[in-house]
Order: sequence, then structure tokens, then C-alpha cells
Amino acid sequence: MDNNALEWFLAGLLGALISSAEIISRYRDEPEYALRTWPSLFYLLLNALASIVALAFIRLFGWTFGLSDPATVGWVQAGVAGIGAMAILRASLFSVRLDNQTVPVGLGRFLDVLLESVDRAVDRKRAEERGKTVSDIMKNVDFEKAYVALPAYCLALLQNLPQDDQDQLGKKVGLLFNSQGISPRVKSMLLGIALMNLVGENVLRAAVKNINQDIEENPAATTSQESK
Amino acid sequence: MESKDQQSDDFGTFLQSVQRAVKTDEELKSSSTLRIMSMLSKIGEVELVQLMTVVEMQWDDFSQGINSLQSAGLVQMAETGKGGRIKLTSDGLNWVNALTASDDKDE
Repeated sequence: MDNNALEWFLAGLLGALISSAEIISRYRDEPEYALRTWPSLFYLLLNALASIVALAFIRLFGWTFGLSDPATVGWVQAGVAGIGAMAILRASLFSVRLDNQTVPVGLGRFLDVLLESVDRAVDRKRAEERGKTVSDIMKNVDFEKAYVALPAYCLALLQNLPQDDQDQLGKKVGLLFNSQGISPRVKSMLLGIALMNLVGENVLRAAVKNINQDIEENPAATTSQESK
Repeated sequence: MESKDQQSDDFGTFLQSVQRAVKTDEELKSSSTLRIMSMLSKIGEVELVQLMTVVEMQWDDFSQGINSLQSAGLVQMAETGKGGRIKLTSDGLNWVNALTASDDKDE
């Protein structure tokens, strides 16, 4: 492969690498999955293409950045195109006011829409996994027995959860308690989701295990299953 | 000597809050919060006035439902000239997803 082709490749690669770093930093817990989603691949491709187009413009206008050695100029142009295109893509051209809010208009908005698609894809996967985990942990928990005891026990294990968070959890539990049209099983799962978001999977699992005699629908059955 | 106004406690705030919430929400029409959340999950972020017209509820139930959901951190409001825009928080979205998944299983 000659140098010229490598320079075009470098510009595209820089664009893709910088945008992949953006996605990785956004989804620290699921970087591999986030990079494999379709919106994410399209996002990388778009950034790579932008860098290649930027290199084409730089060469069209003959920008040499004060350098005279043709070999060096080629690599510098590729580097500037790779990084510069990112800035152009993320810039807003002007702002408009809609519903008393200032909305920036530019290519950056298009990128935001793509990133939101990646958000949704990753959220769907997280929701699926969280649903399975909560369903497993809370499968035998009786909401009526657990709605005060389990959160209080989790909070005691965790220690020093901010009072605002405790207050919000209390209100969620109150809402669940008074909600009709939701089966007790689903109420237990929603209680589990609210708790897992605050205290994490391990604390929730440990808490359910420790006080299962007091909060499970049929503790005797569970105990006999465990002993087998 | 310990101060009576200590900010940290293990679970005291939770217990007080849940007792208050259980009593406060007692008179709230039980399905109204679910209807609001389910509608928000379908239409996304929306003006409060617009939401009220689509959920078709009494003003008192609607207002109390919104307040309960907001204080529980399940919906989020942003002030606008038309009374505010409302959307589900990520917690709220998790709840709706769990409810939808359970409905699908039941079917």
C-alpha cells in the first residue's frame, strides 16, 4: 500500500478512534456491547467519512501548514483532517429558540440523535439483564411482608445512604403499596428494581438471603429446597 | 453530647417517608399513576397540558398522581411557558419496562 492510501486510511482511522473513545467513555460498564450496536457502527463510520472528506478539502485547497517536505505534509494533513473533522461535526452553526429553550442547530444535533439511539440499544440490553437478575432474586419474596423490612435492612447494610435517596425510595414504596392493578409478584419485582438501583445487586441478594424467613412467601419450601 | 439534628441515619428517613407516602397516597386513585407512566412511555416527553388531555382523568387525580410520581423520582418536569414538560426518568422507564414485560408474560 503506498503512502497516499495510508494517509487516507489514517485520517479515517483517527475519526473512528476518536468517536469510539467517546462511546467507550459514555458506557464504561458495557463498552464492547455499545460499540457493536448498529447505531454505534454507523456513528463510527460517519466520523471516519467526515475525516476523509476533511482530508479531501485540505488537499483541494492545498493547505500545507507551513511545511515543505511533501512526505511530512501528507501525514500532517491526514492527522489534522482526522482530528479537525471531529470539531466541525460537533460545532453548531446557529441557535434557535423553541418553547423558551435555546436549541443549537448544526451537525452536532445529528450526532446527538445517533448517540441517543446507542443509549436506547444499551439501555434495552441493561433492562433485559436487570429484569432477569431481579426476577431471580425476588422470585419468592412476598411484597406485603417485604416492603418495609427489606429496604430498611438493605439501607442498614449499606449505611449512610443520603437522606434524599432514602426519602425517594420511601415514596416509591408508598406508591407501590397503594397501587392496584399490579400483581404482588410484579410489586416485588419493582421493589427489587428500586432497591437494586440504590444498593446494587450484591447487597440486594445478600439481604434477601439473610432475612428470607421473614419476607418470603413460603420460607419453609425455600429452606427445604436449599437443603437439598 | 449528640446533636438532635443529625443528618445521617441508617434507615430512619426511609421509614418516615414510606409511612407518610402510604398515608398520603391512600386516597389517590390507584391506577392513575400507572396510566400516567404508561402513557408517558408511549409518547415520550410531552407538555403537561397535552398529557392531561390524553390520559382523560379528573384534575385532582392527575395532579396528585404527577406529584407522587415526581417526588418518587419516576418522572421529571422541566419548566416551560405552557406549564412544564414532563418525561419518565430512567427509574420510571425501568418500572414501565418491568410492568410491560410482566403483562407480556401473563398473556
